[in-house]
Amino acid sequence: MVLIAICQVSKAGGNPFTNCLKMKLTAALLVCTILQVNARGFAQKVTLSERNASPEKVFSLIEKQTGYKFVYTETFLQKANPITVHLQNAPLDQVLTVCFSNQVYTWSILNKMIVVKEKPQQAPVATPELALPPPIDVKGVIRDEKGNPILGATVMVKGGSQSTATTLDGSFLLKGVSKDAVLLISYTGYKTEEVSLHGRNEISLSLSINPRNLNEIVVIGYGMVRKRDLTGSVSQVKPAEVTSYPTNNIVNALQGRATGVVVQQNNGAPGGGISVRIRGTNSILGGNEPLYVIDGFPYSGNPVFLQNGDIESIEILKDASSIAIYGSRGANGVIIITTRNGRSGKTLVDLETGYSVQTPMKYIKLMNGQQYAQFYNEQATNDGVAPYFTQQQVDSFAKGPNTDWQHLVMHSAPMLTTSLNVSGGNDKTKFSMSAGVFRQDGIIRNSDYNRYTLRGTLSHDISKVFNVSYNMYLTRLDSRHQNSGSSNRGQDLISGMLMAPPTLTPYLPDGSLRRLNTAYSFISNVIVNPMVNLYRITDNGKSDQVFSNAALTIRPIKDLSIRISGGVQNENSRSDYYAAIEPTTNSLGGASISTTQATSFLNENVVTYSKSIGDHRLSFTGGFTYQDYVITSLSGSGTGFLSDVIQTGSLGSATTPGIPGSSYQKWTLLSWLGRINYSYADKYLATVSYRRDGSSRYSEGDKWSNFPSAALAWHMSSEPWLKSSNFVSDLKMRVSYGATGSTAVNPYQTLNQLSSGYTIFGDALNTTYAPSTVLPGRLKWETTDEWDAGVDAGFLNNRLRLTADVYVKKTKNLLNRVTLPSSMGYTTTYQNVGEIQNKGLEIGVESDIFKGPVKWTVAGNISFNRNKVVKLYQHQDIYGGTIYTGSLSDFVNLLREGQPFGVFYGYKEIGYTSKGDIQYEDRNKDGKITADDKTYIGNPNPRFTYGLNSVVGYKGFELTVFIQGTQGNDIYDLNKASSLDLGMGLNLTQDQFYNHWTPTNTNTKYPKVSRSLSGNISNRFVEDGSYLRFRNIQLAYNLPVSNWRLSWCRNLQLYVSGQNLITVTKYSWYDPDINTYGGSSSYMQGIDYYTYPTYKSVTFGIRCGF
Amino acid sequence: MRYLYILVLGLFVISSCKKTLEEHPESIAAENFYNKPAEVEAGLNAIYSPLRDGGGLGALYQTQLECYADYFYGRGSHAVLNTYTGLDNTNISRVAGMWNLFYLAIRNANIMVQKIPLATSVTDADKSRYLAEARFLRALNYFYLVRNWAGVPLRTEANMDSINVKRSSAADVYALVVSDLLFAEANLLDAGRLAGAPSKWSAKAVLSEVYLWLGRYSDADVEAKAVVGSGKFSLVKVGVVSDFDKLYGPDVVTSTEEIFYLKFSRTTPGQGWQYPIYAFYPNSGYYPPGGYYTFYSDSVNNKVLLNWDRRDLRYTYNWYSQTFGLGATTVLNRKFADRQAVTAAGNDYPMYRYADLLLFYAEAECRANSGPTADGMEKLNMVHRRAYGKDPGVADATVDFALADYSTSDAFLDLVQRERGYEDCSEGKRWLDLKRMGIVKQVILNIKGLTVADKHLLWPIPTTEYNYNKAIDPTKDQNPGY
Repeated sequence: MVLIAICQVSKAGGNPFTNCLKMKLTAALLVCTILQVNARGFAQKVTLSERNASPEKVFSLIEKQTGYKFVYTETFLQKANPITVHLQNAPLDQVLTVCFSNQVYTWSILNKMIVVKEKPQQAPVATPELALPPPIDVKGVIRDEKGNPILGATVMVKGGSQSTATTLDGSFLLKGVSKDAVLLISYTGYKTEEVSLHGRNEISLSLSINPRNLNEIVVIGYGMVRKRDLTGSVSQVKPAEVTSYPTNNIVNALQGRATGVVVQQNNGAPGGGISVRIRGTNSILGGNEPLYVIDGFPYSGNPVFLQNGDIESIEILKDASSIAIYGSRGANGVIIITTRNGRSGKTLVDLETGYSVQTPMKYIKLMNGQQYAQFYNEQATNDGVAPYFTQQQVDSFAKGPNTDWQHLVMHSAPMLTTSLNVSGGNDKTKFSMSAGVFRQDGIIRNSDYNRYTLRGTLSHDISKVFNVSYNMYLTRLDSRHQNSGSSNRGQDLISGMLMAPPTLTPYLPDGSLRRLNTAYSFISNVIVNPMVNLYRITDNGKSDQVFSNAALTIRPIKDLSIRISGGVQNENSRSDYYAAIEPTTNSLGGASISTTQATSFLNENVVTYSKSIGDHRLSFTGGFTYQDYVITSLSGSGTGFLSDVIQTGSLGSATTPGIPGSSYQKWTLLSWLGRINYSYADKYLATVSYRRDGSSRYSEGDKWSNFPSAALAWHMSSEPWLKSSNFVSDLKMRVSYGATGSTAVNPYQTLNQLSSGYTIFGDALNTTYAPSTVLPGRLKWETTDEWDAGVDAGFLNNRLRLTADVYVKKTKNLLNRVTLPSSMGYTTTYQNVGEIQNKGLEIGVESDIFKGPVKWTVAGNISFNRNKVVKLYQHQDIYGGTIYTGSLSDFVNLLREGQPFGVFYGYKEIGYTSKGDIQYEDRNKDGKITADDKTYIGNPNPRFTYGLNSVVGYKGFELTVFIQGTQGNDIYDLNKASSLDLGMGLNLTQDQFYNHWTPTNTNTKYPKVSRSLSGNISNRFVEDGSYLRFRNIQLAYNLPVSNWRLSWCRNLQLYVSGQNLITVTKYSWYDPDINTYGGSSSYMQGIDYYTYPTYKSVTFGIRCGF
Repeated sequence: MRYLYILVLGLFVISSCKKTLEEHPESIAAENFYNKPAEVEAGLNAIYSPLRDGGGLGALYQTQLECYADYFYGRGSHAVLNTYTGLDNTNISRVAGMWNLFYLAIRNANIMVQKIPLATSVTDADKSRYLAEARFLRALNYFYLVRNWAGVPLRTEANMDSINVKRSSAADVYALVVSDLLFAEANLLDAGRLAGAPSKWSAKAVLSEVYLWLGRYSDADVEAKAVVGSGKFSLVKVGVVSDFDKLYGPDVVTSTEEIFYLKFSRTTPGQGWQYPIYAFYPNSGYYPPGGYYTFYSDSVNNKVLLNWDRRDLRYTYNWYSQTFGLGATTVLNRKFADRQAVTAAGNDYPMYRYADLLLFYAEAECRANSGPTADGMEKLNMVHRRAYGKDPGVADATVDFALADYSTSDAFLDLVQRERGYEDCSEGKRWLDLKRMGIVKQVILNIKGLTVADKHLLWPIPTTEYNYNKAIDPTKDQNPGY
């Protein structure tokens, strides 16, 4: 009912007011003409981008932005020419000069009126500058930062009346310009440039993107605002940053780009998982991944289906006032992705293609054959058994070929990206179409990731009132996995390639695979020849994704818009796994297939109304949304095949067919939302928002919850006392508060359900039904309250720009796994108990260090986050999952009140006993080493993360260096657990060979070589995970195609770039950017345990536009 | 005006909100189940799953106890077990896993004890035999718990939902075990519901062992005698070594010797017995899925094996030579070989078989009568004869033990103990027998020359229990030494 009331008010108070004003002013015209006032210096800044628009329309836009009123006669309208103007954040006088440049009328300003009058027939007193030098004609070409010609850029003479707009090929011609004139060249979204002619009559200029344009539009939840009107903390990532180097997931490209955003890859596998944390970890049970909103559609999951080249912009909403509009889904921050849409004008074709060569970051230095034999002979001697190798054998290994398993498994691999985008349109209809191919071979052989994308967007104005738009994405993902199972003692591929003895060849002389677990009497009984995992097992995944949405926008009256949209996200995935018939692993052939089908349907109905009255600007957004998500799965398997030819083609032909499985899950979310933005005189800004969500996942009576927020901002640089400052060009202070929530639990967890299973009687299967081990509990929302205070500032005419935020976030009613006494039969239940706090500081700085022929722009960001577990159920600790390494079996991470999230917890080593065994600190001095002696041994949370991007341009060349890193985080390097597992004949590092305990050398890194050694989860495996990485170094050259006068080619850029070429770190294993369990668990953080290694790469590419 | 309709539509949608947010999982809710016989049986079946789990009697339980046995040694993370100094962290968490499984089975049994009387479409006769099966299984699980941990928290249908339950005395646990088994004995039928479900003879068999543990020898004697004399069971006849496959082999569905077995199948993935993988060496041919050779022995250096008569077919059936760096006389056990196993074995776990009852009877007779009886010796000889390929029912002077040679209780009980050692080798029963008879320290010292620490006799109450069950004090209520 509120909505309806406002609509009626707006009708009542519409145009009559302005009409009446106009008439009165027309009457006053004659009086006013005499009083000319120099308008220079009027602070009102105007942004206009119009082509051949009617003066009426342009004037009304100026009126709206400035509060000034135009005064003109009917005759003027009859004689006026259409206006083309592309200016942004330009002073009013400049805008007016452009608007009147090809009119027979001129203008003057009186109080708050702009009076339009006929140009005097005779030039008034000419200014000396204009009078003295003979005028010249100037022509030139204006391009964007990529070298594409700009259509409709404004070129005007500073302080003069001549002005023109560039044509399709970016060219312009200005006649009769003073020889020493200064040209002002401007275009929406780009920095305005000043060029002194100094007698030149031809100029060529590239405009650069205005990195922090106050009038830039920022996409926020359910709407857009001018950047200067933002009251919350929002980071923007530009398309150029997303496409600067090839990534298999756009999320990967966000790493180091924005403050408060930590992106970490879980492993280096093509298409491998990525974890994103915005301002720390909030939830124990729920995901901590942000919500992705793609073209307005809250997307369930990680947007792997998008290709980088299709991105128009990425906005990261961080503070609660920005995300509270997403209520129950926003607690972990929101990443809004907008895809490219067409623009009216010439049809543009963009083609980008790149070819990369990826190589492993490094190889671990492992023992060679001779060292291996010597090492295990030493173990035999220490344990009192006969040496395994004779001296003759040991000597022969020195000569003999040693197997380098790492090189057998890893290699350099190509990656190819190509995308083609066609966009264009006219005043009514705009379109964009693209096709893309991304093909990545993994650095582990027989692994790859391929993505094929088709995309189309269409927007059409049916009339002034109705607009329809449609977006569609079709994506096919196709990949071969070689994922490590992170298992112990060489069972999986990665641990196998590290542990397999260098003394053994992978193949026997007859060409068959060697069986490793019986190759030596002392070797691990589970080690599998890596060639088996590599070549005898196939694990393929395919996924077809459809992402499509349509919207109808109705603008029944001025200032009011109603958007009704619907969208569908559909994903069909299938994975095929086949283990070939292989005697060395006793495999009789095993096949399994699983398919999942997920569909999400979304309906959103949003009303937006905005109104300016004098200095007051008000906008209201309200709406109702519905979203549901259904996922079903089906799986089947079979063991024992007659031939490998069958693969997964016929499960029914298996000698032992498996039991099929299926599942069904659905959740529904209903939401009401509302927001009011208010600003006074562009100085004082306020936002209040409110969302009410109902989720099916929670208990009856606790299904609904409210998420309010509020924010205030003060644009200090608009105050008179700061306006004149030469140093401070822009200053805004912000403060905000809001509540968000998280639907942390899976559906159905509040219901008493029975799960089915099987058991055997006789030799027959019988069904069982029993509750699971999780006791259903009464559950409600997890809520996060967040305070944020920030400042946005620009100095020295915005040459130096700074954004800083401090925040405190508290997550309450934490959905907590409450452990029950195991004698209950139920192991856990869930309760809303607990509290986590994150607080932090984020600083982003950008600066144009050099302008002119050599351009140098530097952007840096640094984020500090401190995170603490404040309260847990009955102060009970929560343990991370137990990891079994063969010799160790314990948890690593701990949640404990007062400690950072997921702190490493274990024993402290204090050297060696006289026999070379590890000695642990008996912290409670009870004479025994028990679990009570454990303490905090490391922290996976970084002290800070940072990114630094530098772009240097000279002529057509451009050098980009992007550095990114983390500082102060620890990694638990469980890869080294095998260094204490010495009775298994596992290959180990050379470091251990040279640096282990012997009776004569007791001050060593590793203990005595003995199979009776017993280890523990201790500080031994904690390593400094800090790193500084040159994530991308790119040298690009823009070919001067415009000089070649090729009408069909807008721009052509060649580049060569290197990704991850330099990493500065103390971390000893493959790569510090790793988080083995990051995908599966929120609190098993910072562990590296036999994961697919990461790569570095060199890319060659072409970007061109036609 | 169109947007007004939309708003009206929106209001309409909201009015139906309540329904939209209801959850309708495609699964069964506990509240309206357990009414029909098939539903009750599905609930009963669920009691078996935790028992058959690989973390319990599906593999690790027997592995744990066999590493303790006088004739085995543990390897790898199980090596610490045959130092007899108590459990290290890895093994503490391993036995904690077993505790969880026993209690999960107990929970499932308690649910059935609670629900069966309320079933709407089950006859009273069926209710009583279903209830008897649930209580039999509850007793069986508590029997495993009390033997390894002594007193434990006693959870029945009455207090299954309470979080804090104190540790009961061993006597209280036994009292529940006995009362459940007596109910089962009275209400179970002559034959189990399915092959692998208990009959009243199963109840008697378990009861006889429970009474032996309680020192109620005449009661044990009565129960064992009832089974032995029932005529329902007989020893599987063996002529040559491979005939033992008819008893232990993977293809046996049931045998005349079966009283209560845990049943496994190799043909359905996930339903096989995983225990054998801990016994074998990879690629040995006895067990294709692989091998951890977690427990091994030595035909010369272990006194049990050294003294084991090589004419005893059980020796050859049990042991095969396999070297892996520990010397030429290392042997591994092959009792539960499955040469066709794909993922796990088809052999069943013979928890109670006729031979066990014959030996229980022999022992109970001797103890109840304060000296060996001829009938007791005959029953022992039946088991012994079969091991030499003879007809169990026909006396054979070439292999039979003479009562005169074992006329004292001590001598006879020692003979029973040895015979049970040979007979039940690798069945996970040895350690508990030695413990029950009070000779465990002496036997381990004799055979392995090691002193058994007191803390090694009981397993610790898991942290997952006392950390969350506030009625148990982590130090006061813990077993000695932990």
